[in-house]
Amino acid sequence: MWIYEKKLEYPVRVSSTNPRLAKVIITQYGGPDGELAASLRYLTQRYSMPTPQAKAVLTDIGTEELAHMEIVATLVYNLIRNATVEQIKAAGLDPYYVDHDKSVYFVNAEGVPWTAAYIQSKGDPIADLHENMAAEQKARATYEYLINVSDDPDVTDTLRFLRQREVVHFQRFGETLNLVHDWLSSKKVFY
Amino acid sequence: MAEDANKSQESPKTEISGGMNGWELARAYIIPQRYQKIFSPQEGLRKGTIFQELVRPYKPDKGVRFAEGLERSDYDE
Amino acid sequence: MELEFAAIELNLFLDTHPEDRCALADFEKVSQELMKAKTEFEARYGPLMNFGFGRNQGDTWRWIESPWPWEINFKGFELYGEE
Repeated sequence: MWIYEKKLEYPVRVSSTNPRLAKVIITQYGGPDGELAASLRYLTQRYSMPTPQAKAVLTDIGTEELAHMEIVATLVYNLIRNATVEQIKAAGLDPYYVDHDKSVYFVNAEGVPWTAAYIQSKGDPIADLHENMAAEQKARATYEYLINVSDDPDVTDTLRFLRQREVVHFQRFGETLNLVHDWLSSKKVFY
Repeated sequence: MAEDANKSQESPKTEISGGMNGWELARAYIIPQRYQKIFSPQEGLRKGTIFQELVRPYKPDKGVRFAEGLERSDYDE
Repeated sequence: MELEFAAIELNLFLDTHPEDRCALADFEKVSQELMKAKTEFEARYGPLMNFGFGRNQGDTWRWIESPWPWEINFKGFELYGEE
């Protein structure tokens, strides 16, 4: 089961109100390569994983992704909460505003709502682990693009942290893939 | 990423273990990490990992246009 | 905050290297320091976790107290200092 710790994983800093930046950062909240997709993907794949290490890795990384989701939400929340309606309109965020005010919702940078089509749980552990490794690379790349467009060095600092985490997760999924392959060959299953 | 081990090297089987000799086709390998010295917690948090060997700083492409007012040096760690 | 991060990193490493003695030893060390730090924190500020995983120790239900994590802007705070 889950319990919640009332503390962010990383100290988030935001320099100033910036709805234009919030509009793009929100894609790592509700977008195809964002933290919600990552956490739900891993947390649902774990049920059908064959080895204890795989179940642990998917549970733990899935849980850490929830913490990252919280960080992205914190960024978005602090970038828009003091915005005037004029600033929101200038940022092109008024369509979001009329449906959500300044709350945090699951959309990508274009306002497309989150969908389970972003994730798969194929059941086949090799397929699932490859999807996860690809997901970590896509997330890393997305953070790089966000770093490119960010004009707030404090926000960029948090984006760098999140990007580095994806690199570590990729390594762990890769190691899990090795372990699952070992387990499969020890069972003498032919692929 | 640098971890992909699709280069000619000695077989990883000594570390990964497994039933067959050498490298297999149609299969991906990731070199398993070996535990070495770790950063202090403070430095680890700042870098985004406690493992020096997994640090991969992002250096934005020279061809990329920066947002107005941004200094290139902000991104050099 | 940084102690907990170190514990998370070691946890993930141990998930794929469950028999690594060095990592296990470091995890034990960090885990002990972390629990000590949390006990001190909770005595001052109230529970860090809900559902009985943290202690309340007060005349009122401190869990609900502000600030909640997304309300804290660390700009201007000393970073990487204490939990």
